[in-house]
Amino acid sequence: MDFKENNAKGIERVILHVDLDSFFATAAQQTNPNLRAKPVGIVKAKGRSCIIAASKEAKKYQVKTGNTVIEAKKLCPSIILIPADFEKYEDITYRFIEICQKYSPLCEVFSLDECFIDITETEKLWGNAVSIALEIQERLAGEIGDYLTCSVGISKNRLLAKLASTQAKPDGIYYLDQKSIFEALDKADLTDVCGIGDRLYRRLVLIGVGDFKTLRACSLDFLYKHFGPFWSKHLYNLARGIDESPAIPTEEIVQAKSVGRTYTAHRNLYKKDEIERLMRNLCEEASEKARKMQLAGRYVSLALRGAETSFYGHKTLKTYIDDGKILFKICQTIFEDWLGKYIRFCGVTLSMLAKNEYQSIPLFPQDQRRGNLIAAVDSINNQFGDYTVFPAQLLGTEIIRPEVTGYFGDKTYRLKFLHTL
Amino acid sequence: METLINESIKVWAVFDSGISPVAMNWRNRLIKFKKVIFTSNSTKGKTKIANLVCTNNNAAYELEYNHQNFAWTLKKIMPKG
Repeated sequence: MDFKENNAKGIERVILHVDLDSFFATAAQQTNPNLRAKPVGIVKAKGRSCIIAASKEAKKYQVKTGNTVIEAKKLCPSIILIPADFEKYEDITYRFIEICQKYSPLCEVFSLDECFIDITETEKLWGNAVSIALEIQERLAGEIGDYLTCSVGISKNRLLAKLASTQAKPDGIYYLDQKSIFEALDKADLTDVCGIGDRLYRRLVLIGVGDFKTLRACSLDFLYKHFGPFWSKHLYNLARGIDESPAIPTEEIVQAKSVGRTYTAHRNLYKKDEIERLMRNLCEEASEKARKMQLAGRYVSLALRGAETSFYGHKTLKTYIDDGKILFKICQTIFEDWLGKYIRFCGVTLSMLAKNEYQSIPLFPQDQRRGNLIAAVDSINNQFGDYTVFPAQLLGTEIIRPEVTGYFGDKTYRLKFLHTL
Repeated sequence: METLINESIKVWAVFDSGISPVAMNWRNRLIKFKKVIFTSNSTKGKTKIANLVCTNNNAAYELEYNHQNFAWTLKKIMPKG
């Protein structure tokens, strides 16, 4: 079952894109029937000011992800704000993935609430693509929650399948065949498809390209002149619905290139010690992830953001590390170059990862003791829960615990090491 | 809309293909459930925790069951209306 082989034989693929509708908000409505059929906005935690998900009822009022709470309340005064429950979302995601994986081994987990399923070779086992889509919808409602719905796009490649599911929302199925491709593209905004982000979109608008019809009218030479060899071909293909990327199953996800954690604080952090405590917390999580994956890294980066200031610093080390304390010490040195007044956002990343067997064996007794201590702490935390034992520096603070993110940025870690399906 | 409780309770439940709470004793009140509308699982270390949302005519109740020590906790109540 090889995508390239099928391609060489001229066999047209059949790809499903399954996308949970308004995932976080619908999950909240599933668990609290009082919220059903009402406009709901999910915030990260009580008191936070940003909407991270909106229910379909709230979306009717144009409330969307990224709105501030004030904006959302202006658009929809009756909106109900609910704090996120990432543990629940994570559990639903794994069960959703299990359902999708039943239909083909070529099931790609694209994000927390989206999967691509390549059913080219397996479609005939279940009748046809539409019956698979219907079955997935039924199983989602029957096995996970009767208020949860998903939209399914079916087409010959990932790009078009995702476009189709967007246009099928909510709770719909859309089979996008060859003759409807341009019609579907022309109905969509440029940023509706994967592959055109804000920056590329702005550059397109600058040259007078605001939709797919206009983009399709541009020749490859014209696009080459404005966007260079890579992006010109990419845009040319996008405008025609051409996409040869395969659905990559979990087993084939490449090893993580970096581990890290970012956090936006509830309030501005002015004092050096509170910023450092936050950094230490994030360093512990990043290094613990690395150790769980049996990796170590030697490129450390620190990102900080205040009101109008952004700071990014990094250091490349000569040796590999996976110790949260050492990672923090490096971040502290990088932090010395920060000149801002306060921060709101902090991100720590450890990259240039390699197997931790490449770490040099500690020669000195204090380093060996440190290694044994870390192993013991990991063992206790694995048994009794994250941060059962934690650095004394974090005493008295509300510890930031690991949680899943909407775009599933650490899916390599979660799918291959934390929750093996 | 919802009230956080986080109190220890006694629960009568059927353990079959899943866990189906039938009733609970909370603050000496017997509360019967009509339906389980959602279940999810999480872990705390190696301990499996089940979260169940049960409803009756008055409210939805979120319960937590600790598989390690068999303890039940009433996490929150979401009254109807």
